[in-house]
Amino acid sequence: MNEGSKNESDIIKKIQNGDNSAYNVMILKYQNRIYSTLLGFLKSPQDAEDLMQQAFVKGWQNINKFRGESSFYTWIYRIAINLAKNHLKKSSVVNSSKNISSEQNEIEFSVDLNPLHELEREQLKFRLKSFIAKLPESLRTAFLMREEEGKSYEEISRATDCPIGTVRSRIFRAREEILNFFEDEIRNG
Amino acid sequence: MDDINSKLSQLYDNELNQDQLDDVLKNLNSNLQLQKKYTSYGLISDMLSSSPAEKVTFVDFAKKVLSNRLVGNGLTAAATIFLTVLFLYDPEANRLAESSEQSRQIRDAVASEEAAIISNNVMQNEIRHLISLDNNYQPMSSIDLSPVGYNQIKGSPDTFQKGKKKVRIRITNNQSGLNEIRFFDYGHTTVYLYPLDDKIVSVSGDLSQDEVEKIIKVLIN
Repeated sequence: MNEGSKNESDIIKKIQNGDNSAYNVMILKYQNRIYSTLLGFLKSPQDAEDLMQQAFVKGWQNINKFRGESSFYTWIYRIAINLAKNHLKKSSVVNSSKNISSEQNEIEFSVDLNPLHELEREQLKFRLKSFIAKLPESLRTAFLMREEEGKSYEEISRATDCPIGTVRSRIFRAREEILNFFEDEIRNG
Repeated sequence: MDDINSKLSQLYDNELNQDQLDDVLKNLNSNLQLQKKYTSYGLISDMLSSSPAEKVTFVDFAKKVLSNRLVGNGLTAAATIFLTVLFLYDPEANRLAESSEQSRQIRDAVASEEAAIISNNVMQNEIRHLISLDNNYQPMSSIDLSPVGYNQIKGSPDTFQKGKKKVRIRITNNQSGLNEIRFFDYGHTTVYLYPLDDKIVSVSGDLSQDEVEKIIKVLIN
């Protein structure tokens, strides 16, 4: 989802040529997903945030090694996961009474959830999806084809028999509506 | 404004033309609202795609992102940078020599490998400027911020107060070549670096960009 390379390959070239601000764009786009993934492994928001930062710093440091064989997200994801595994290994050395492997940790984390937060998340997700379901059909279809199916504007244009400009506009309008809803939801708790 | 927002949506979808990319990136990197929106796009995608095991405290994080504290300039979230910035700019912070614990933390942070990488590579101009700032700033005795309600604090010429709110301002030579506005967050303190001709005005405190711009206008006049 959203891991295409049309713009991103251009952005990566800019970063590799020393454009720091271009890297900032990649951080803004992917920091949530990396954070969420790390949180799933580590369970500590502070550790997840620290390792997310470390992952992006390490990514920047090694950006010239990025060859575009995978998406940038996949690449930075792997960096983050490796950092998380190393972190867990160090933690298990410090805490000898819990001498378990990082692989075991991953399994345990996936079943040991905080029920309150998980409930909140699921409720928010449900309301978000309910809101999207109420969007006008044309906006909803274009948005979901992009977000959930990862289709390009051109593919959506062909599938819906609409000009690309219309597809672009519909996705943008859907995002604006969803963003307004989402921000209200978060703000109102 | 709709045009840039629409292009932001296209950027997110990797659908921008190459000739539009530079313009959008420039806008995005200089506009906090656009950065917030772009981050929120990611948040929504993440919400739609996530599995339960990946999201323990998602809502807390979402609140944090949407309150802007994690948006900023992206990499400025790096802890070592923040620690350095806190020391240099926080009007409430003690000076290095006066706090042994803070002194140790700062020394460790500045000397760390991560700090070296960041200062050498990631934001070299800004960090170099920040680190050198403590020794190179010019006296502020002639500055009058009363038009925006701030009074200079006696005995602390670079610090101004408006009610309970404090702001620290320093003007240095622009030796780092900084040519665009930069900001850094640390807790409730935000540090803004404003390049003005051959100078950099550094403003720190719990301030919005609008407030800082009012202060800068007074300084210019």
